[in-house]
Amino acid sequence: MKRSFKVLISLYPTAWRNRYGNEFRALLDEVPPTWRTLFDVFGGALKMQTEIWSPLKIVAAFAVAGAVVAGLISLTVPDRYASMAVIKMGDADTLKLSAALQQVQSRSFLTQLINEQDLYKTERGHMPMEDVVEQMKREDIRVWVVAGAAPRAFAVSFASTDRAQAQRTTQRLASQFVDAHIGELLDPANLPAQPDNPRRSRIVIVGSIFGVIAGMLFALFNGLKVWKLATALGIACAVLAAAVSYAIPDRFSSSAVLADVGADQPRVRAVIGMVTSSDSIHAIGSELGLYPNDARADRKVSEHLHVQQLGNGRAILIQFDYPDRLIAQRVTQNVVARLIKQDWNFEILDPVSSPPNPISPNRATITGMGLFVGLAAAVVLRVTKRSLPAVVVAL
Amino acid sequence: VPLLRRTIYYVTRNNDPALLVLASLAEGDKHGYAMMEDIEAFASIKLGPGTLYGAITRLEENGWIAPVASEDRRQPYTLTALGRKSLENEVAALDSVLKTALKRLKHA
Repeated sequence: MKRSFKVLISLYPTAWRNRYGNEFRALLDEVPPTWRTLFDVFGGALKMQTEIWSPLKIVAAFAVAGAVVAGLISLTVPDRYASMAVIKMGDADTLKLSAALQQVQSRSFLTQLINEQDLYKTERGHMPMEDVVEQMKREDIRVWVVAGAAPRAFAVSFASTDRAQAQRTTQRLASQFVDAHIGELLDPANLPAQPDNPRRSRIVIVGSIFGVIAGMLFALFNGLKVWKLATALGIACAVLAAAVSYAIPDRFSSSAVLADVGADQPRVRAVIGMVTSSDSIHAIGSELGLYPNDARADRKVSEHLHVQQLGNGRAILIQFDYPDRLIAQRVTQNVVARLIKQDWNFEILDPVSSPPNPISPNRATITGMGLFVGLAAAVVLRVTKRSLPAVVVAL
Repeated sequence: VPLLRRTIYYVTRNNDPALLVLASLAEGDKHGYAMMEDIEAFASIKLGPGTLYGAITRLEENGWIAPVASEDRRQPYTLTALGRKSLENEVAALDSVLKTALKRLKHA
């Protein structure tokens, strides 16, 4: 540990070492070497360094540190391979393409694909299937129009840590479009040779951005000498915000997707209008006993019920959120039944979901906002030169 | 709210190492290790070497303490006239707070 002290002394600024180095070493020879002393000497070096650094240098140092830490973390992320297939669009119009896209991105098809290809083994162990499908849609499947291609073409890709699995899954996705007579395969799914890892660079970028923000806060607090006040108000506001966030009741969201390939857009719009009319909303509310003893129950139901046309206008997304998970699901079921009653040709693309986790409140965000408000308040108080005792008294 | 107030007091309570160093040197010249032992004895606060030298650097820059010539590797410091004056002001301010608090406690 004595050797660690020597290394730590070299972290102090040279000018400081030239003036105090000898006597500081003499002191360190006398104090018992403990972890506490080690951290104290390290903290002292950091403080001395930051006192002579310009704010710009502090921000740069934090950004580099953030990037290095994020880089190390990103090394633990496994390589990912993206396989791609290109499909030449035949005579099919955009409406047909978007209907096929909805079919490919539907929960039922993706669930079937996950089971068939045995994808996301680890994730399925600890996440509900609904979340796994969402993650697959959000992060791993991409469909885009190939720019400037003649004849018109679009590409579909799937990324996985397993190269062969990426290729097999992309083949299945592409064949889904071909089977729907959207076009013919121009370029079959390839077996990716090189890992394609935007995630790793994204982690490093996010790390350096966090570094820059932390560096700016550090330089600001250090310059204003507002550390204690910032810590106190930051912790206090974060705790308060967390407490408030627990007072807000959970809300669960249930959704479903219906499609009617035969119907035209105005017809679908008319059906939606009928189901979301005030009479219909009132009927749903009273049938399921939503917001009991609340005079504004109908308004609340219509605020939280979203029935909207998707992409090509022939598919409908139904979404409802409510403090009770089962009731949220039953309302969505009820709306789906009403829609089907209006138009028997509706096909259920995504069955009514049973929400496993609440959609709101987002407690981490609320707590983070509390922390931020506390830190900002400390800076404002110091800038306006109000002293701490006045604040404590005011509380 | 009392809990919040107590938390803020806990995080911000003023155990300023510079004041402790001044108080220690008011008794006579001392080198770093002697200051650490003295402060632990009279204030029950264990200052780390990094914290101590942070305070020494700041106090010397302000001209409140000054190094004393020594043959030893250990560098003793002495309180300057300016430092003594600052300590007196600081102690007078703290004293009035303490006296008021004590008086109020007796009345309560």
